[in-house]
Amino acid sequence: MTMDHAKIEAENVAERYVMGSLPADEVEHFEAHFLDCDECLERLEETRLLVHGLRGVAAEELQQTQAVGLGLLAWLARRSRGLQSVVLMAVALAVLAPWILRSGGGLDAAAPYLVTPALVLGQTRSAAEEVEPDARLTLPDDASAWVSLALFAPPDVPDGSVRLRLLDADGTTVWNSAPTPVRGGERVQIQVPAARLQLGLHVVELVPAAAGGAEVSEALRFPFLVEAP
Amino acid sequence: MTDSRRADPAQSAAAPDSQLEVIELVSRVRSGDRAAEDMMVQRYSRGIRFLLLHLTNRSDKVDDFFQETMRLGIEKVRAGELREPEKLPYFLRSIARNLVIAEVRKSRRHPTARGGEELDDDAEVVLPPDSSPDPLRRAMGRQEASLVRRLLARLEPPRDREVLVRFFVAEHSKESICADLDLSSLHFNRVLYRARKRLRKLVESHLEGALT
Repeated sequence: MTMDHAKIEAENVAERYVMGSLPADEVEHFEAHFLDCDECLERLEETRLLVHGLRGVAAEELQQTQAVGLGLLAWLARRSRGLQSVVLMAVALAVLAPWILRSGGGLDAAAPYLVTPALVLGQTRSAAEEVEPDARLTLPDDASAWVSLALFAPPDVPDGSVRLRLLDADGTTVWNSAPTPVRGGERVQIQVPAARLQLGLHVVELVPAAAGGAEVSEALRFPFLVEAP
Repeated sequence: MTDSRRADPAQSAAAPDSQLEVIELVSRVRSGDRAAEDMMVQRYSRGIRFLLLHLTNRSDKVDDFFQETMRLGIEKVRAGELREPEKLPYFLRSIARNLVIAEVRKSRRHPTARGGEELDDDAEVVLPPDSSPDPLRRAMGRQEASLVRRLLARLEPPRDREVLVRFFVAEHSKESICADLDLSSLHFNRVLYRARKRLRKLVESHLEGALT
């Protein structure tokens, strides 16, 4: 495979490398290339700073708005899933409303991508739960809206990286994350455009993985039902 | 060209200059030239350090991994283990990755793939994020976020902010962003380039201010 600057520029190889979304075969050749390329190293260092900074801003803003709800989320995870979705939706909206209105220097231009209502998902314990899960999401009227899904990584998930997948009612993967560092018991939040959801059963799969994608154990399943507005 | 170079002269004449330099460097290290070893360390220092930081996300571990990578790299080149001198970057990359993988396997339960198969040595693994309450690391993270906030506040048009957040935070594909915002691939890349350069200027100004 040729790894030249025309390809690196056209295909955003450096950016995708920093974000962990470059295929393994390209990673090998790109790494060997940049070890000896000051131009690419400069681009990588700047991109890394930009990505970390952006994600830091996003994390700060989410933390500020969810600080009130965080203690509640752990409590909710131990309650019935029907109660979870009702209570959490109310809390999330109340906490987030001021943040949505805030402006200047933050991520308000991209607020639609970080806004909840949120749904906390529970792990499947039986086939019956998977067919008729308690977790239900009403599809927003606004097709450009985003929905936020939260789940807790089980305590016995090995510390390291996980991959997250969203499957629709046909079992088709509609979204697949890059490897993401997660600890057992940690809360994981996913933002999904409403336009990617159909009516019916969906499942979020959490798969402990090595960062390059090799899956190291069975997927844990978190089903939810999408209902019409 | 030295007589000790292993590459076919006819082939070497067509190789890029940088490749010839690498072949020459390997040959000199192989023959015990200490100055060449120093050159090798210097040449690959920035790249190996970035690679290690990317793999580990632990700036406190990079120095140790780097020292070990170069020590092993020089030792193996001297011992003749690098059979294709022009592949020196691949060789060093592999050493760095294997060191990180070995460290990860030491620090947590040994993972196996489905069916009880071992992960192959090329599998990427990432050290768990450091959760120790290191004030310096927290401060650096806040500083990065603060500088990026200033960048976002100054970006014009506002659509540029949307491009950055969608691509780097929400991880949308370039194709979907360009389709939604009616951007060409070239324009998209220009947005990323401008943001990187502006952030770099902000960082440099910040550092200059801190030093004066």
